[in-house]
Amino acid sequence: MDDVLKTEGITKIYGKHIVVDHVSMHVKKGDIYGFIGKNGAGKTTFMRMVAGLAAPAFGSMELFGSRNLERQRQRIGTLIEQPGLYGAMNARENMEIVRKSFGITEKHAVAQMLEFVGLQNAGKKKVRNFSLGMKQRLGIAIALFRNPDFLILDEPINGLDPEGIKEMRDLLVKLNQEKQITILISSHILGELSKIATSYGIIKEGVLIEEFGADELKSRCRRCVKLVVDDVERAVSVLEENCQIKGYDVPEPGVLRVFEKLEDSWIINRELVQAGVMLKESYLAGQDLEGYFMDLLGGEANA
Amino acid sequence: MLNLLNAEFFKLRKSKSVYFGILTAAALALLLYGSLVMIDKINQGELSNGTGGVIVYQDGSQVDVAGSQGSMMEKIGVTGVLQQMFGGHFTGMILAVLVSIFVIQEFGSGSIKNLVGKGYSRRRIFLSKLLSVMVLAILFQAAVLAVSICLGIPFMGWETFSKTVWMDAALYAALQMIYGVTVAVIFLLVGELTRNLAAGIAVSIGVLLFSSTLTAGLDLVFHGLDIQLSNYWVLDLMSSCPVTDFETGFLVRSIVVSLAWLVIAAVLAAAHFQRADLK
Repeated sequence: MDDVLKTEGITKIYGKHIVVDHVSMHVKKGDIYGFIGKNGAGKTTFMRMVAGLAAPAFGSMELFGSRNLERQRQRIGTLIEQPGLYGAMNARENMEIVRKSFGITEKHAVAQMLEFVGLQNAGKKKVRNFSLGMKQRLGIAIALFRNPDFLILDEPINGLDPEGIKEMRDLLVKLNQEKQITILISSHILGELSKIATSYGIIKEGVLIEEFGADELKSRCRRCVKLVVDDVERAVSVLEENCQIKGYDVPEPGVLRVFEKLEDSWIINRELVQAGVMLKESYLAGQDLEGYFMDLLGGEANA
Repeated sequence: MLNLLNAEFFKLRKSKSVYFGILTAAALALLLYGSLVMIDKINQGELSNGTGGVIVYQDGSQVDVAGSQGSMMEKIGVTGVLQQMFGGHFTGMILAVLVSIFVIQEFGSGSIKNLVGKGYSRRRIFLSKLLSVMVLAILFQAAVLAVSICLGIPFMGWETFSKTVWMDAALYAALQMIYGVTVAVIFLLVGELTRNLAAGIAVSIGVLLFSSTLTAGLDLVFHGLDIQLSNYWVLDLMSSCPVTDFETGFLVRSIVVSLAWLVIAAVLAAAHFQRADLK
């Protein structure tokens, strides 16, 4: 699959402080890439570099397989931090400016886009009087102008009410599935992110510590009985023959994860011991996605 | 590029601050004419000196004998009013505010990132901003010129607008347009460097009001040299521009100096815009 975004060693330094440290990210075509990190981890700075708003100190970047970034950025839409809006104008006038800037001749494109994001009834209300949710939606509308192939959204659901969050989630899934738009999205609301993301990147103190797919994440978070044994082969045969268990894996030497019959884990333990397998540890493992991210990021909420 | 300019002009049309700026300039012109009327009334003894805060002086002393002066309105004429409006920096101050709002609000609201993030080259974005600021300066000054002249007709009478007055006013206005465009580009540079509305307006007005003091000081320091530095600073030219009897040397110097400062300010602003990160 093609990489829509590929960075190699992208670094940003402010004074003596390294904000983004040699980040090599790969966002594949069709992905909804959840970009996760604490406040100040470097998410926004990284996104700003991708969007051309900030220049990296080192590193290289490809968009749609090309290094002609200025040209390729015509294919992206961005909503980074606050949407760029004129507060003294209404939604339609803000969109008119964008339409004219992009040289879009169809005047009805503005009305269509406003309807698409649910702002068709905003009327003459000035943008400075909009709720945060309305501003975010208008920001999305601007980002979607000229049918981008790649959307970069920084905290797009921040400040939205539960209904607004659901609407935004549905909108992003619709854009991804119906218009095949690849999305790079950061959010603090990990539960929401995990409902839509197909791959993840975790950034900590400017360093991209891990990238993985949603399936891999599910597997890592799956509830299981974790067994630490002296002889894996023997333990496997006990599981299959004595306990009739097929759902297990061996993530590392000497460790088994059993995904079936979790409520009868005592039977598994008994069978292993009776078969002469030295059972060093046996415990229920697995956690929710949020807990998993917290562990990765090393702490508290605010991821 | 044309698309960007189209969008910039749309923003200008929708900008209330431009209309407020013109209204403020009109109010200032009206105030100026009103003051001249009061001076004449004081001189004619119809009002006592100091009425409405207008105090008329002659040879360093307050006028206390009515009827001793000629008509100030006639003496100053419409070109004198234009000189006050433009050379006295009334127009410059309003222009400083307008340009600062027009340039800096893009950085404040973050709307400039809509363009950069869409792959528009920074060079083209800057060029469109530069051209629109220049157009703004020309349109605003033209509006102030029109308002000042139109208000002058009822106060001074149509007959005072002789062919010579029109010629002088036209040449004076053309020179002020050139200075004004250059000064607007200097304000653009200030806005680009500060990227903060309050700071941008304060620094721009500071440059407008106090840079001449600095050049006067430099003239004093370098009084032994053949050249007078204030002759090469656009704001000094703006305030010292005569309203009649224009010398060719002054005209040429005005154009060359203005163009030079315009290019310097534009290049510096472009270089900063090209390199600086955007919010």
